[in-house]
Amino acid sequence: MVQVNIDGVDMELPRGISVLEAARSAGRDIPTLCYDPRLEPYGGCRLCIVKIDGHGRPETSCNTRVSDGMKITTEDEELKDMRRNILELLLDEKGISPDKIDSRKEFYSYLKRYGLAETGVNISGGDAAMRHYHREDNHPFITVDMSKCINCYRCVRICDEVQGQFVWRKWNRGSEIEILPYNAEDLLESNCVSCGACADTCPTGAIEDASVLHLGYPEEFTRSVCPYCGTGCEINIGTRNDRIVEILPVLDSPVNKGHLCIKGRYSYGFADAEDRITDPMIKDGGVWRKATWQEAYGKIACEFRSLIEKHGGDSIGILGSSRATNEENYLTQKFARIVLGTNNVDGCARVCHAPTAGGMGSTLGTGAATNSFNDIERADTFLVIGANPTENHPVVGARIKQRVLHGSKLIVVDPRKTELAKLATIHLQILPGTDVPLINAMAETIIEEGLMDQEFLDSRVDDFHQYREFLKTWSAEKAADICGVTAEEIKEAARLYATAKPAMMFHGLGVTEHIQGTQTVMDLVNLALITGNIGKPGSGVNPLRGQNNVQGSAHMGVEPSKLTGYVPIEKGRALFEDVWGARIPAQKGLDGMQMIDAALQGKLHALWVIGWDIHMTNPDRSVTDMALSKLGFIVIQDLFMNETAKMYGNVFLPVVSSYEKDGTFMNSERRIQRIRKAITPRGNSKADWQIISELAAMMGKSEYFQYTGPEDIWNEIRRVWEGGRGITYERISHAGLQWPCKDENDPGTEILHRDSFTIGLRASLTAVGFHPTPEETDEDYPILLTTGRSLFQFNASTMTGRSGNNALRPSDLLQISHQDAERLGISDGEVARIASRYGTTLIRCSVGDDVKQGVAFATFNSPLTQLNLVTGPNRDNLQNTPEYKVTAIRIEKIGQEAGNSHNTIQPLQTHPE
Amino acid sequence: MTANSSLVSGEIDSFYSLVQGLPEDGFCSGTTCFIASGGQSRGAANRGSRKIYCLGKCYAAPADVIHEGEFRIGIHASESVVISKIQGGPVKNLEAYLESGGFNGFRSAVKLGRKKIVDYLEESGLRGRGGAGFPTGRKWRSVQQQNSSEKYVVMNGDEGDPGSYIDRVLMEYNPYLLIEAMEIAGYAVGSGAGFAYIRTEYPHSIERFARAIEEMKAANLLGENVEESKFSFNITLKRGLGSYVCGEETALMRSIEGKRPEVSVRPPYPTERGLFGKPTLINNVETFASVPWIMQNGPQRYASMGYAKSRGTKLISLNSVFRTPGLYEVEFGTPIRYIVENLGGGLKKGSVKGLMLGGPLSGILTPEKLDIPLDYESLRQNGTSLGHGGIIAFGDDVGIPELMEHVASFASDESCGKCTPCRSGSRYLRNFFHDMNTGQSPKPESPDFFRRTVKSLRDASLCGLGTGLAEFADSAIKGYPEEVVKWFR
Ligand SMILES: Cc1cc2nc3c(=O)[nH]c(=O)nc-3n(C[C@H](O)[C@H](O)[C@H](O)COP(=O)(O)O)c2cc1C
Ligand code: SF4
Ligand code: SF4
Ligand code: SF4
Ligand code: FES
Repeated sequence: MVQVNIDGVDMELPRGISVLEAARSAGRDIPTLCYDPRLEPYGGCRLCIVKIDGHGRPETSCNTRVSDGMKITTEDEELKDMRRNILELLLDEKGISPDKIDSRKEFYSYLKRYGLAETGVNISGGDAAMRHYHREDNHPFITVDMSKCINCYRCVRICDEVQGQFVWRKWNRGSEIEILPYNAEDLLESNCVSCGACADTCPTGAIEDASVLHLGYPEEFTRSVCPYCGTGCEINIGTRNDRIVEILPVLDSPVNKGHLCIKGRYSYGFADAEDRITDPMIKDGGVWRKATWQEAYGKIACEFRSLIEKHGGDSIGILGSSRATNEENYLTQKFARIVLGTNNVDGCARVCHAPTAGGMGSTLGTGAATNSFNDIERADTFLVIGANPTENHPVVGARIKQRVLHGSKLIVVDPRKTELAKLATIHLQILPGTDVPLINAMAETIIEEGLMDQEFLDSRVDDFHQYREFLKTWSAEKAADICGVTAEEIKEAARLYATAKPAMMFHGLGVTEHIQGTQTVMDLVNLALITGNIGKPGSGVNPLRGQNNVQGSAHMGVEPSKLTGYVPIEKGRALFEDVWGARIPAQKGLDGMQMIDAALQGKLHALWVIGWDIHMTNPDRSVTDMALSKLGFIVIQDLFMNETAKMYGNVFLPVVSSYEKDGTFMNSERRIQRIRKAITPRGNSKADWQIISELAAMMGKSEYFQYTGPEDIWNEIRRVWEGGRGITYERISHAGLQWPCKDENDPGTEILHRDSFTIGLRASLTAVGFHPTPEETDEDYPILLTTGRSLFQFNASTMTGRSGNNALRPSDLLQISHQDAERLGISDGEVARIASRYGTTLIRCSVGDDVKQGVAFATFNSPLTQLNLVTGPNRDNLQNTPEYKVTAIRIEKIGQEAGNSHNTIQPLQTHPE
Repeated sequence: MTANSSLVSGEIDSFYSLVQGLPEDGFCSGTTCFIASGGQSRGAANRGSRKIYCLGKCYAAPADVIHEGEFRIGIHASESVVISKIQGGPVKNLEAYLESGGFNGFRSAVKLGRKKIVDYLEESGLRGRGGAGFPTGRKWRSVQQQNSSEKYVVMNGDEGDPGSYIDRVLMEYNPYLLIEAMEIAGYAVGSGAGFAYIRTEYPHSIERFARAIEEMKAANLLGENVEESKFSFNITLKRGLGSYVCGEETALMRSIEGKRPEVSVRPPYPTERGLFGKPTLINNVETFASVPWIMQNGPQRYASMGYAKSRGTKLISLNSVFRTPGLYEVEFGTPIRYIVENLGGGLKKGSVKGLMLGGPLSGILTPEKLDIPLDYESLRQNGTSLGHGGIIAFGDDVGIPELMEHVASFASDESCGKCTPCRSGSRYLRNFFHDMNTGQSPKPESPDFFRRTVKSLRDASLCGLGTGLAEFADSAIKGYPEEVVKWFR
């Protein structure tokens, strides 16, 4: 601590903070224009000057640190006059008239404070007349009018220092400086990823959200959580007249630290999309008609009741939603178990990270990320495998990227040259489906070269000798042949991961969506165990979860074999039955994939699908369709009449978006965060928790579903889930808490497995043999297709497709290599047919060097592409997760003329035959 | 410091004026050439940052790229520290350098050992010749103490101040001496990598320096294991690309890194986090040039020369309006009048109206102040500064209002544009003077706005470019009130 005197008041302050922070904490509002807490102090605008006794001239407070005995004057007449002059110089430079600046902007507030808002300046009139300032109004979300720019360079710096995109550049010098996008006419043509950081930081509105210009500035902000990916960024929802007009990042959020991506920041338009359904609907004679809630509930209750009577509760299945809150997922499984009397309840974690939960759960005791996003800044090395965070978890991606730009090491394992792969120290561009040989060979190298953490092995790890014996068959040379990379690359990566410590691992669906997904995760755990890269800051095994609450959904018990807290049913039965006052069925439940099988066999008769478009997202479309058409009764609960509903639904229940309700989400790092209602529910739509409770009442079980609201449900969850007991709504009003958090004094757990594993003091190594995918290439299907999302769209585009993002990336693309393109005679932008052993579809090709010869990559975002006509029936051998990531295909030229594969092309018009 | 230079470029070039090199038909728009033209702007009347400000031929102004001209080299000190070897012209080659006792400074330094080298510098009282006059020994000590396996030594050969051609002559006539000095620095602070940053406006300096590096490498006086001392040192020569502000140390390092050469806030100081984020010793050419002599002759002999806190000798360059323009090594304490009248021989025409000492961006010394001694502190007290040591005299043919417009244009053209007072203030001052000189009547608020802007420049600019402009403007108004009074009524 240091002793400082600010404007005559003595105070004690922590060493190392800036004079500006010190003064602001003391309530002295020093004006600043180039300062932004997200950025390195810059000292450019000079507005923040203060006087410090003993210093010859004023100092800029933003970049001066407090020191012991400092006497600071934050404002006097002289400083005031200089500040006014600086503001005048800024106005004069481009001849800015104050009335052009919106009154909510920082710059305007200072003009007002220093008496310039009305008068402006009338000195040289600037050189405005001589210059033509850059303007943009063609971007769906961001407008630019540089005649309002005051050269604070926050836009340039935030694009560099936070997003790492290097779009805005300064050209020329002195008063001739212009800020323009790099290498492009405008943002649309540039590298810009539409994160909106520049528009957020700009203090004048020279770069501004288009929405506020069209809809007006927000009157109110509500703190909540982004509805998209599993990063779980905190957002401030700006509303005006019960409409969202702008979403901004929360500055003090530990997750996103004042940053967002295009999805969180701009893709909220779906909430008020024209085709949103806000009344319950019933399909009569093949035609949908509006209904009342009573009618809809009545119909469902009647169908469910008669099925239970005829075939038992196990003839019905529920698919819960990763978009729904923890509270709602909790009720979903409670409904299945005690209203329907079945364990047939599963969520979309099945199609993504069930292998992670399974693999990490069985080896370590907890099937969730071991570490936190804050460890990114503590890691020296990253191993990113089967994940593309800069597109799919962009805020995490941006944080990793910053570290790498500052010198951290990065190993990327991916069949594609992703953005991170291009920055990586080592990129192992393996063939899809060959992770296990690679990981085994890395482990073998580490042990062979004696690079393991012996102390950790001795004190915390079992079964080393068996594992070591097993590995002897996995030389880097052998793996190299299978993986399609060199042995030396594998060894280099192994050495780096083992020695440049701490090393932090991130994995995504590229690891899990394989027939050996769960075992691959266990193999990753092996790697962390032998190097001691676990249970420490900056280390760990960390899944990047797909949807915002996919972690929460399964953890709340939307899982056939697990109850809330991911507790096996038999282990939790006594407690749950006691709290619920009801019995939990004993029969094993079906998971989502098994429900499809059961439907095909005529064993499942009804399905209630909450917030999920399974026709679109399940693999092997033709089989899914056959199963759905066999079901007698399907209830769809969603915002939109999705494809499954259109084709197979019987009753449609309209829900609210997460902007319209309260509750909690759980992000990838086990953090429970609050979402809050920012706008009123549209039309007659309701929150899932209300719907479930009301339907339960309709089915005569109201006594089990008496809740006053989400907090009340949460408090019941705390009674059954020990690890969440300490988390109260009040404690997480800001920033959330990470479980385990056992009581109300527990600060939560940033890092798991510190002194012992959840499973016990020691964890065991697991020998993981290689079982290659049955999806083999042959003459007919010579190319291995792998799939993923793109930055600008999310999953089936249900939300992003309705939020203006199509202007940035209208259609799916198939990336193929130059060599394959040449062989097939396909040029960039051409539409081609892809065929697998299961089906065909059409897609536009993008020719480049991001994939190797013989490998192709497709995004699956557009409903028009219907990529799941092509993906196959293989599933993870332990968790049934579909193998979306490998399908043997052939690509056929169909002779459609070439367009441009970049973002100016029209969406595909053709439908597959 | 996040901009990854491999991801961005092109826009960096737009910062500079001379990326393409020095145009053959170029001519100088610097202050001495402006003065030599009787206070007329040279070159296109239109504004722009693409002028050449100073070719280092201020002895032969108005100058152009092709013609060289002649100047004197003289000594007015009990001993010559830096120019004895070049009094008769450039050192021809490495052999000649070694014959005249070259490289013995390095050998003496290695014998002294790292700690003693710095002790010597501290005891000698040597101060930085780049303008700020910071004690050189203290700077070396702080780099020496940094705990880092990577450190850099940088020679600032950007000599941007119009009027000064001291560094130019040193680099062109005796690059061996500077390389030797950089090696001493590398040895002392624990660095194996040096950068010599030389401005494009000095093509002969670049050429001679590059050749000297090769010669010394070939003779094992540079590079790996220098003279079997186990000390290795390599020097990379970086060409400046046409920007005055790149002489400022932080901008210079960004320029070497390939980043936008903006001035950075300090701390962190280069000694802690400089080039590529590593501890860096950066010194001016003339500062380096004094080091080998001190190593050989000891600190006392150096410190025995000088005046007050300014010890040793200083090089002074005189512009073309003097009778005998040239480069003179003088002992600190020599009265300015002696330099003007005895060394320079007075003006060719008329009498001295004013002297610009630290380049255009510092105060003007009026004739009645000529008796003050050459000394950092005395000059400060008189509203000016020593700067590089280039002295620009001007006579009655130069009008103060025109000179003010010239200097404000220079500052505005060369401002990096980071901080508000300098970027917008120098632009405003230039416009203001231009309007006045073209007979436009001032707006009623102009005089007040002018004064307030000069104050912001002085008190709130980030670097010496902005504060220098204020120092100049203040001194011009104070020194020649009758010429500017009509604007401030
Ligand atoms: C605007 C500006 C321009 C400068 N130009 C030069 C220059 O051309 N050469 C130089 O040696 N120092 C110049 N300096 C000073 C350097 O920043 C730095 O102080 C110097 O290189 C340190 O070396 P020294 O201690 O040996 O003087 C300049 C400073 C400023 C503020
Ligand atoms: S929106 Fe984001 S990526 Fe695009 S220019 Fe702005 S800061 Fe850079
Ligand atoms: S556009 Fe905005 S953020 Fe960027 S420099 Fe100008 S005023 Fe600052
Ligand atoms: S005073 Fe400011 S704008 Fe001018 S050169 Fe220095 S830092 Fe750049
Ligand atoms: S806020 Fe400190 S200089 Fe801009």
